Amino acid sequence: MKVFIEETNKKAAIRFEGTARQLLKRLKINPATVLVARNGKLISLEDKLSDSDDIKILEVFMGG
Amino acid sequence: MTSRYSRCSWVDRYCRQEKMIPHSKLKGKTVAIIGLGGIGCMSAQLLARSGVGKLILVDKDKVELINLHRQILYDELDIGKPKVKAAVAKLSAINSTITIYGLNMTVTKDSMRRIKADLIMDCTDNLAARKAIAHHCAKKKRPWVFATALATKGMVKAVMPGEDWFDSTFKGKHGFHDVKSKGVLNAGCNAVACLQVSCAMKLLAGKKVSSSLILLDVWDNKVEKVLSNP
Repeated sequence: MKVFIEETNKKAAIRFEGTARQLLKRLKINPATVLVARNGKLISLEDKLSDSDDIKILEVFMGG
Repeated sequence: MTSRYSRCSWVDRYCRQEKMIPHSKLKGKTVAIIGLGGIGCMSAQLLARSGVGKLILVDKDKVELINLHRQILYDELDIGKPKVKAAVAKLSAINSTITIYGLNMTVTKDSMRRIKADLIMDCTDNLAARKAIAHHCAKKKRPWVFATALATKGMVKAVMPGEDWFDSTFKGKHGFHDVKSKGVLNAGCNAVACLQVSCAMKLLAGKKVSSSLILLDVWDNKVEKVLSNP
């Protein structure tokens, strides 16, 4: 699984299967502060991920 | 007509944009710009210059010194004035042929009832205001364009009537960074506004608009789209 974490601009390749919420827990990222995109589409935190997915963890912000 | 306009007529004023968006598609429309900060100032100015028939400007704040690096409608003489008052004055001088009025108010579900517009530009800076806008637009079946910026990044999305996007996407989100913790680059928030206005122009012209969430980073020179349908 390829993972890109927007806040730190870091990429990683990891082995993982589980939900998006579980992935965030593994990466020690607060789920209330991010959106998760899988293969170019926003998903819910309860969606299951597979090892071949391309994941982006996007910062939430509301600045105007 | 004064002599400074002798090289062109009022009709020719918008000729450079006619091929992309005929003025006939804009002059009868009302657009509300909610929030007159970094994004709202640029969005309001571009829409005013383009000749949208009526603009409703909404904000509750006063102009501060720390706004001036990115909020392009204000100058040093505006410090301390209500943003709405300063913005109406500036935009009226830019385009005296359109109707512009301001509402100095906090955005809530109740106060949004005062907004009667064909399109709403969400240029606010907090979750509660954005929720109020989403609720209002769903109820009134109006399109709106979400736009937000932080540091060097931004997000923009056109939300169509009937699209339950905001609540389903941002439900439960809290504790995220803001401009006090991360700052904001003036080039970034103004680039976000340009994308927002581009979406708005397409909506006003009745053109097809992508429902993707557009992500922008002016530091890394990135623009990408993420599908965002619930």
